[in-house]
Amino acid sequence: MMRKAGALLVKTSLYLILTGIILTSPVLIKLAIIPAILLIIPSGMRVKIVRESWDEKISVGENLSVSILVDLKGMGIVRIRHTLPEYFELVYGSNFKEVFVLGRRLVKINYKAKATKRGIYSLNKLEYELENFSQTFVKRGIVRSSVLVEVKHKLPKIKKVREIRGKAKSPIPGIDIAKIGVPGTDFREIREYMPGDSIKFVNWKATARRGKMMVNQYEVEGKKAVWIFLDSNPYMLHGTTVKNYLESAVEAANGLAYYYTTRGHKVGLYVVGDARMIHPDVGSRQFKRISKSLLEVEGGRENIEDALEKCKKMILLYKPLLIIITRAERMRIEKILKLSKLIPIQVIALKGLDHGFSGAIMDVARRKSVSKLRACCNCVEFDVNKPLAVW
Amino acid sequence: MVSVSIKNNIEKTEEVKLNKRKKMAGWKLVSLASAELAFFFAYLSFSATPISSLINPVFLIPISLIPIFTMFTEKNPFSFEFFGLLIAIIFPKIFPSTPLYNSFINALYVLGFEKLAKSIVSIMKPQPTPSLALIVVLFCFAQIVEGKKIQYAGVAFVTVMLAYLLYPLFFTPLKSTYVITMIAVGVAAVAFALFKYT
Repeated sequence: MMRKAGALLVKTSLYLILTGIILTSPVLIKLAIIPAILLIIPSGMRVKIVRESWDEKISVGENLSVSILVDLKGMGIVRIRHTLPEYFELVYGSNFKEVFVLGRRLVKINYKAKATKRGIYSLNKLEYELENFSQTFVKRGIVRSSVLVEVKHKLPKIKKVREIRGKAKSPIPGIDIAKIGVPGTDFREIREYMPGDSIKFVNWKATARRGKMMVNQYEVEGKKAVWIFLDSNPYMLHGTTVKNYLESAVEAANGLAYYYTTRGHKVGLYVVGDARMIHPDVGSRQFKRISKSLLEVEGGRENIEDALEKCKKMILLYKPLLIIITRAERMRIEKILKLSKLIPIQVIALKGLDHGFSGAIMDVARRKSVSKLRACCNCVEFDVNKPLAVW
Repeated sequence: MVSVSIKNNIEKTEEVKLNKRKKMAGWKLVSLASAELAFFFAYLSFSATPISSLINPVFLIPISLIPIFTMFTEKNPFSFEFFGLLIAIIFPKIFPSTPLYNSFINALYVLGFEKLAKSIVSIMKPQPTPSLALIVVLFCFAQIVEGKKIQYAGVAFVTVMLAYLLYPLFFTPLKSTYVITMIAVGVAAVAFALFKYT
């Protein structure tokens, strides 16, 4: 691409030629060669990444250290920039370098950037701009690097989820057992034979007594399932890009998922808005799956009631503890009221980012919803400005 | 929190603007110096012509203020218009050495205006014009340094001086004005094509 200076040199050359032709002046025509010489100076440069090192996994608020060694061969002025995503704040060094190269030169880009939002970021673009020796032409290009960074929320160490008095039958799943899973040895009841039941569970004595096929039912192994419903509707984005309800909800969901998976519960996730669903399962692998999924939450539009309706079959199958992380003032309570008769529900109502007069109104609305919710289920208010471990 | 970040952003933007202005001042001073030097060469050339006895060269001095005024705008102090003005100042030195001028004088002789032809020849005599090349070189230099960091002015100066020293070599083996014209037009056409399609 020609620079403005290059275009002006072309203009000068043409001006001198035309004036020379009109005045029949060989001197002017000869002089037209000077700008033309400056234009024909070629630009050639080889840009190659020799070495690169970076932190692959960091937490929100931590600094990402990047070091890239670039080998430049050629002649001219080179500008290199390692493109940073918008959620990174440069805190040390520079991701931009401008150097004059004559022959060969090794350039090191060293910088530290603060990650302000969770996500998986690809920092694989090393943009360069080459200018020829006479600074009349510019060539732009991209060298791909392999920098991939995972920014997670710091895992909050939740020691205990406090029990709050409510009308729910069993808000804390620690003492409950799973509804579905591998049958154990603890006997539960004798029931009628259903197609699909194994022959080995047939209770022959009871069958002879009743005159119809009866089978033994055993308790299934494993603890009760926990299903986290994370609200990612637009109203959750209230606040700044760094600190908003959605970010706090993601952090809370991540902490709860860790809390329950480490205690042997089956944990599932549904992101309301993104319609992202992870079926309940146990183990650290399940936590990693949930954690990775939480990194990709962007938000969308969906009612919590619709989401619960969509998952109703699965909910009735697992009978899990439902944890809904949302802004309580935005919820419609009717569906929760109905569902709370079937399964335990815990609502985590987020607060703390509404200020001023509108904030006071929202506060009143939230309190009203919370008191209604506490009549049918467990509802915890979570101030997003406080550390998660406190509630 | 939001208002604080907005305030910080505004402060940063102001700082960037200020830095940009500071950086621009460097190249503008270089460009201004080139423009004034080019004017000085043009002034000397004009003073050396017999036409300066008719028009006092002192009247040209206010022209030297144009780049200074231009410097306070966003434009390059050595503008293309100013370059055209300098060429016009040197015109009395360029024109007498052209075939067009000679044919014009000859025509005046043939048509019987001998006295007029002689008086024109007495005020416009063919003279060498080395300062014209220097003006072109200085103009090219001022265009290249536009918007650049001051440390790259040295590179630009070396490049321009190389072009100044090398350009006569392009003509020595050819020795024909027509061929030179054809080459110049060809180069200009290539340059134009590059300008248009890149």
